[in-house]
Amino acid sequence: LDFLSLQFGGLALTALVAFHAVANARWRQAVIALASAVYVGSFADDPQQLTGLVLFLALGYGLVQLGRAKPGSTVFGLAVFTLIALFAWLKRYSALAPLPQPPSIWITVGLSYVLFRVLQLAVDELQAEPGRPPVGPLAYFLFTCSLFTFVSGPIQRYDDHRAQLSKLGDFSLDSATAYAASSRIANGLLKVALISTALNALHLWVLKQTNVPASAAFGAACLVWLLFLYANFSGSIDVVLGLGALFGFALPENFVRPFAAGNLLEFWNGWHITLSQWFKFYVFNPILKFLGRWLKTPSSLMWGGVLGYGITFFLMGLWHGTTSAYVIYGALLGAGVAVTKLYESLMTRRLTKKGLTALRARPIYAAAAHGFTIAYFALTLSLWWREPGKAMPWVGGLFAAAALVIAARAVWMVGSRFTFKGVRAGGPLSQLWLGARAFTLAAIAFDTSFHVPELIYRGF
Amino acid sequence: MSEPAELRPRMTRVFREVFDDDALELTDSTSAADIDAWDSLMHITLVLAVEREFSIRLSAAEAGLLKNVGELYKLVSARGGK
Repeated sequence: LDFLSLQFGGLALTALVAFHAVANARWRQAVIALASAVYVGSFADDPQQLTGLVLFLALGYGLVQLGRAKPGSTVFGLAVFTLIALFAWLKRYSALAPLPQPPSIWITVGLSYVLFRVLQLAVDELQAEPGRPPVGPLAYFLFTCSLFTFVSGPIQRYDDHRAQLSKLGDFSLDSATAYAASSRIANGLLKVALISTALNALHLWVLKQTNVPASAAFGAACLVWLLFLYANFSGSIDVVLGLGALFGFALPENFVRPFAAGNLLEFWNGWHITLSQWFKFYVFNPILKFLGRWLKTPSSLMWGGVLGYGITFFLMGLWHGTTSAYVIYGALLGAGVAVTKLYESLMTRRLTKKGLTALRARPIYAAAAHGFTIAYFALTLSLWWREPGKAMPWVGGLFAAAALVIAARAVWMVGSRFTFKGVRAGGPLSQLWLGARAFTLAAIAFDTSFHVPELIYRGF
Repeated sequence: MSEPAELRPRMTRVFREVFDDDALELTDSTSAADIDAWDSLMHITLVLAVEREFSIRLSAAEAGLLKNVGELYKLVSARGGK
């Protein structure tokens, strides 16, 4: 089911009414589990299509229980490798093409995010102190396949999830929470349905322009596609977070002002936050801990860190897709972040942290750093949508995109001098505004000729 | 859980060695923002040094979620650091 479908709205509303009908944690967990099962099942026309997902979930549960049993690192490592290999096979990674392929009817929607949650949970179980409550099948299902986070995250932490599950019986929905959550859902749906649709059309229009230099058109197309991806992905996250709040879940934010970043490390602190954090905890930190046993001098540690960042972001890029284009995307991400870290380390040594902060605050430096950071990321994303045979003038495109970002930054800085106080939450104007958004969404949902782009992250 | 009496001076010693600063003073709210050299790389060096000093192992999530020295004290106490 798509978020912007009457069927999904009906499922969510039915679940919400049933959930709030009885103030009992077990009842409410059962309601969410049933709604989640219906939601996951809705992606298949035939139950057989879910075989791969069910197999993966079952093996994942086995890995979690294995982690709890605290086996040796070789056994646990082999089990993790097996699960990742199964994931790559089910997702039909091109490197595994010589192997027999899984049945073509098996679907893999949601599998990537299930993988992250399972690995996180298994490693946490392995490293936990004795006395941690066991992970039951219901809690496992709700963690990996929740109605809210199954398709595209965010990747919540299991301990937070478990704590919130146990308190569901005490949750009562007040009007302020209901308004804030509904407003966020409406905003998210509008981002996906209207803004991302418009940006997608603009992207296609820019690509067709032949009366401007190719590098300028390419740079602009990259930026528009980045904005499209942001509207599409952050809109779906708004829906998920708003929906979760109606059911008593405080899910983690996935986007916090990513376009204000002054370098790539900062950018990843605000873009797809839960994925970045996952890679930091379970890939980067272990690599550094491993290397840290041998790297004793500040210089060797710096190079170890550069290597760690390179490997981590390469893997993060690689996760996004199954073809060689994503290998290049991962390499570009890894190289970009590694160079950023190297530059930051060298400059901190030379200027100290305060000196570097002062340098970064200088207007021309800040504008250039901002422009090239966003432009670089936008260009790497062109590997997601590139047209075979079409010219991709990278260097010219990078400068063109950076110039556009710097121009937009200047307009933004002027505009931000004018403050808008907004409307009082819950007041008549805010109700009217919510009603207008709901009416627009209903019009879109009933208009069968209106084409809304797919959620990009559903494909991962 | 109450802190072992020696925890704070030993933690200060660990921080001083890791960040090579004999004048470093810690409070519960001391964080990466207060120490010039405390970045993501030195964070892991610090975690390794704390693990060695107190004979404990911090999990990936514990090491990643640490925000300040106060949280580190609590974690080491809860883990029964020796």
